[in-house]
Amino acid sequence: MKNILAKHGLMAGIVLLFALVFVFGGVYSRYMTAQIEARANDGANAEWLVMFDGATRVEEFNIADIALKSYPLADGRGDFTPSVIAAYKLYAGDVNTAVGVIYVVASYGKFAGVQVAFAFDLATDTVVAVKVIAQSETPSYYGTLGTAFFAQFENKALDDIALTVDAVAGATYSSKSFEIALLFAREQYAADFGFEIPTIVMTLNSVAYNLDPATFVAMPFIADVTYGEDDTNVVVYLDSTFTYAGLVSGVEPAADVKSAIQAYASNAGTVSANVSFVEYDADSRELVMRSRGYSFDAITVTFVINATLDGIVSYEVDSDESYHEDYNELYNHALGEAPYVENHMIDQYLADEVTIDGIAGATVTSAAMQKLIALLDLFLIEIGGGD
Amino acid sequence: MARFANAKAPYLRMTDNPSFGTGAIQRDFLIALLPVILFAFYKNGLQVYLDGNISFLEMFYPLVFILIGGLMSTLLEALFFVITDKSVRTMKTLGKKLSVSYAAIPGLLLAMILPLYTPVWVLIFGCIAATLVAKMLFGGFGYNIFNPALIGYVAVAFTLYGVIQNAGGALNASEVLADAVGGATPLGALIEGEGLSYNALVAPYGTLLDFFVGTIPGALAETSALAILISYVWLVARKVIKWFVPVIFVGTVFVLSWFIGMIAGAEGVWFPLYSILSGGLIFGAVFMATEPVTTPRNPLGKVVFALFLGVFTVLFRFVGDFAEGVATAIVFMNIFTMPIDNWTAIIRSELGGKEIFVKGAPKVKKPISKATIKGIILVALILLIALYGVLKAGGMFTASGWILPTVGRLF
Repeated sequence: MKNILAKHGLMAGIVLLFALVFVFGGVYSRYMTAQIEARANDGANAEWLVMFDGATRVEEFNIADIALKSYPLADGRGDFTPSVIAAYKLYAGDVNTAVGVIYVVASYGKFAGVQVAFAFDLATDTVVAVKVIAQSETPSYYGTLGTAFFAQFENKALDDIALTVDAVAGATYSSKSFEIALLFAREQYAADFGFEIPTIVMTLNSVAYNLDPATFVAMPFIADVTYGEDDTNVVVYLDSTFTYAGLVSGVEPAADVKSAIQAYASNAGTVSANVSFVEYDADSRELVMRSRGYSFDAITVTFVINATLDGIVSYEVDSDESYHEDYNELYNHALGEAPYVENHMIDQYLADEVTIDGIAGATVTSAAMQKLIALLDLFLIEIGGGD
Repeated sequence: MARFANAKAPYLRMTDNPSFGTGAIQRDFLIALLPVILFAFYKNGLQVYLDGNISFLEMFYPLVFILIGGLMSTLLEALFFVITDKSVRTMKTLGKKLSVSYAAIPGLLLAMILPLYTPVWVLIFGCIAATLVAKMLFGGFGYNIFNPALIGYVAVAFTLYGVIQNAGGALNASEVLADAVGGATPLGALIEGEGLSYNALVAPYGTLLDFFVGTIPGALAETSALAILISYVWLVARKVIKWFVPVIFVGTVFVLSWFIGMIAGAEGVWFPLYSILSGGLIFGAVFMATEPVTTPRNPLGKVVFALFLGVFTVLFRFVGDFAEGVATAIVFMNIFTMPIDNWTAIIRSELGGKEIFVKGAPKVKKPISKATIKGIILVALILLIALYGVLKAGGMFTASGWILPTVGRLF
């Protein structure tokens, strides 16, 4: 034994010491990791607690399974299926009955995903707070969504059929993403807590642009709907947020019907709030139109219509589009700066091209101009029978 | 490192003097680490305890972590000696061997440049790479060609980064509660594509003064430029390091970052300051780039070495996918220590010597010397890499300007 110790004692001692440090350090480090995780959880919980006045405790819970549901994105850019990423019940004091609930929903904005949390009051079925958890939108657009926009969600009753909010000019896609998120959060809320989502029997027969120069600025859309058990038909004007703005024919509907019309029309996807008429002067036959492309300021085009009201004499584009900027490597810079794309597309229309082609690297601008030209064409047909 | 007394023969080599040998250098080096270690303890232990976010015992974890690093390195080296050297199988001989091998330093340094919440087994893995692979397998102290601590760091960072992040990462218990920080270190924010703006890169962590003092998230002991500056003054005063190596290294990064900032439209000097005060640049410049064994010995070589470190750090940081570029740059440049030493020695001897003119002798047109060519090659290399780094990085962060980003695309 003595010999073995003399021969191998030193190595055994070093190995033993090594093992001791390893075990002690490992335990200490695991303990510290557990502590920092707990601390991070505390921080995350604090983030939820501030969304609900009086809540003192937060607990994640498993949501009920509900069917996937798709919602149309703003401007007919297809559908998006949101999802609930996480859900938390909020408690006040030691009472074990939840007073509120938070749903974190993944939605989609202009170019990227948005994660937003809604806090609902279980007693009043209202939205009490909204918080953006993550977003990758272009800062210049997203920045326009100020506190006034988010304030619209607060105290919003979940039994409002449409659950719409006024979109912010320049951030309509982002605005729509929050509406989609809230609509889906309500679906989940209904499944989890037995809330009954109000419905109304309604058929949207059509929603179209208002082409009457006398009213098209204030009321850019006209919707034709049939609702109720006795199939009441009504044709109404809608403003740029699809809110009821006046009656074309029929009897003025009740508030819940107006709200339903707004929901149906805004989700129809057949018209766009991003393209509109600005003014029309019948004497000079000058028509000013606007379409929102990539830049914060919309593209404005002034057309001079010919005497027979079926064609264009001249036009002028005012655009701040930025597709020609150096960082946009997809655009062929040899084509020139803005408004090259805008002019090019109008010229195609004036040359009676059947299809108005967009330009690679300026797809958002191209889409905006296609919408503008389509609306111009409708207008010319309406006033003069142009083709 | 040999220094000689300025006196008549017989000469006494100063390294034989207990006050000047490698022992003294290593002692001074360990003393220099103290301000940095103390600040790491203050920032990640004491201050967090005072904030009420950790308990009294948890407060000492930063010190324990650094000590474990040093202890593990020492034990690994001891084990290596006992296994491979028959003459080192007693406590006495082993102790003697370890005392001149400075076994604790790689582990100490490695622990200091890792995030606080690195699991201990990961630290030990790093110590194995540092001590056994980078130091002992090359022949031990004085023979290693790579900086051992940085080899340990690179081994860990390239293979177990996710494990470290899952275990808690770099943020201490107070920082993890700060909403503004968003879970990222300042350099992490840059690599996550936060954009080149003061509000995204500096403001979430306070001001540039906070960066200088070191109260920002980062690896355990490398955040405080102030503490490292104290160490720097001590090391220079004790003649352990040459003053100009860290200055040139940091200065090069500063200047190149300034150019990158200008191209990207970041006005003022906040971006170059952010660039030098975040990450492990100043720590690496003072404690790693000056390491006597793995860096050039002659002064011109040190200058060239530091310049290359600067340009490669910028290149790896801003063009590569990894947030930090200092460790990679130093390890990469360790490979070229000997060639740089040789080339710069030739340049110094050929260009530095005085030409002797003989009166009446015909003037002979001298051909371009090898030293000149070598000098031109080195300068051209530095400039080319710097230009590439600046243009590439500047183009990444900018949407404004057109000349430089356009040229940048050529690369």
